[in-house]
Amino acid sequence: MYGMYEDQFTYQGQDLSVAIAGSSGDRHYIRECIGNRVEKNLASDIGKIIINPVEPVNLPDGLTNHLEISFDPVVIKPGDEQVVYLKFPVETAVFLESGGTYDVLDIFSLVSTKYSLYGLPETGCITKWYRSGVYSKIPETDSLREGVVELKLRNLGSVWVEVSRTVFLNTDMHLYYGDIVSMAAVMDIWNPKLARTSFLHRPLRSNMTPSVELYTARKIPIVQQSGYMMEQGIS
Amino acid sequence: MTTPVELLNEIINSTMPQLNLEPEPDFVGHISLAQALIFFIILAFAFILGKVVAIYLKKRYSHQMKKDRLNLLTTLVRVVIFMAGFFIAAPAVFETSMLFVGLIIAGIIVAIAFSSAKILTDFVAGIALFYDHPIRIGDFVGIGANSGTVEEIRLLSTVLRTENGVYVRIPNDEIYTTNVNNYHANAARRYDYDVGIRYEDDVGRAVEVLEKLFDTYTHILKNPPPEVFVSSFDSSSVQIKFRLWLPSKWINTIDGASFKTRILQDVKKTLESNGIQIAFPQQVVWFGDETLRQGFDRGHL
Repeated sequence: MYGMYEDQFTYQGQDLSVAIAGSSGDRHYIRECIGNRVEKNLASDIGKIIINPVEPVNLPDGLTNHLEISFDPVVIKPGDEQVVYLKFPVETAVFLESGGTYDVLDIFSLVSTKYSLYGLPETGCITKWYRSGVYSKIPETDSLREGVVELKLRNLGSVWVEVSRTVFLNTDMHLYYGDIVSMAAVMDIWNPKLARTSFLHRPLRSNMTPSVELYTARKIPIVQQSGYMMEQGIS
Repeated sequence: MTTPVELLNEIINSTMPQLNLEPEPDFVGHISLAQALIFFIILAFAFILGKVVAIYLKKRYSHQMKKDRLNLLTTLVRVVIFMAGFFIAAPAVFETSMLFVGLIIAGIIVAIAFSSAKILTDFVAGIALFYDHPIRIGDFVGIGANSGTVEEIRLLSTVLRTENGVYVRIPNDEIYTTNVNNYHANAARRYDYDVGIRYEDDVGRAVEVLEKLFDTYTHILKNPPPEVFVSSFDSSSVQIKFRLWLPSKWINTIDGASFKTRILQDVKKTLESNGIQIAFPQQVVWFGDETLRQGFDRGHL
């Protein structure tokens, strides 16, 4: 389903149907996702339609900028690094492209998730929470529902650490799509309380296309930052 | 070197000399029309400069400062620039009218001190709020008898929009001297509920089905997890308490309000569909002869 389309588009799958139909000046966007139907009239002529995965923190109501993935504990010795693969929930955005600018028409997801609190109520932050298994190689996924993040865990401290969660910031994410949806990230761990996560501009497989991300599309200015500092623990 | 005031004077002299006709001296000195014009031009310049600096500050710091703090800062900067313009313009233009300037300043001070001391305290409280920042724009707060979302924090007052859409203006002095409950200050808030089930119902099962129910809600936080436990044995029911953590910024939205009205309904439905009934007050009355009969039945008598 992901890709760039001209004028008309139709996708029909289990639990999801997306279509842009009608002729110029009388176009309709219709999307039905797990019983939730959205219909929009597109009064103006549209350019290209781009459908791709976006930073998975927007639904249902954009309460957070953070994605938290919880997984079975991974133990790492000092100075060591380990690459693991985790799954994350996919959110899909439909963009209308015209003259190099992108407008978000719709965002939907086939995965229901939960919110969580990373840290204490007074100092922590709300996160979009997802439970994943830990994989040593890229796991099979349904690309409309789940993506794969390659996470390089680097223990930069002097003690053994046990990691069972990671928190990412959406402004830092770089998504790619192809036969899977992917991200590549690094988690630098200094001690059991302190780590930093950041993303790499790198697809996990060849022939993957970079996603149009919401932060790019919405032209939201971002103060230059590199990753997210996890100061409330890593397990 | 020619000062801007002298330059303006020269321009007016060469273009509109009639404006510089000096009136007869009076108690405020000699003020010509040209001098008054120069005075107002400088004030207008100070006003525009203040506005330009405010726009620059907003653009420069909008991503680094909270909106309310930035608004207060730009207002203060504008006031300071305008006052500076006034103090530059007045003595330079009204050369012999320092008495007049002094009278204006004294008048302002007297007006503030005697006719509206409250304004001064509100202003000082506004500055104090700027540093203390117990509330921010967008926070849901309770101030005295009012509660609502903070719409604007001004130098003298703060504006709230209550849940039923009423605009409430509260003087800053009142905010500074009363208790303020900020429901958005922390990322999450806990809500406690109680439900009573019958003594004959399986408590373990009730706890289990409630935990499963809460896991289906997106906004009931995964961490801290919901707590479901027996809190007391009442005369007619076993009381089960459940504590749920919810995102603070969501709970006062329309969706959050609808959650609060829906949760108990869903709890009742879930318990009933699992064969667990909500208890109602009841009392077992034993009559004397029945006691006797049951005693016989049990072989006690």
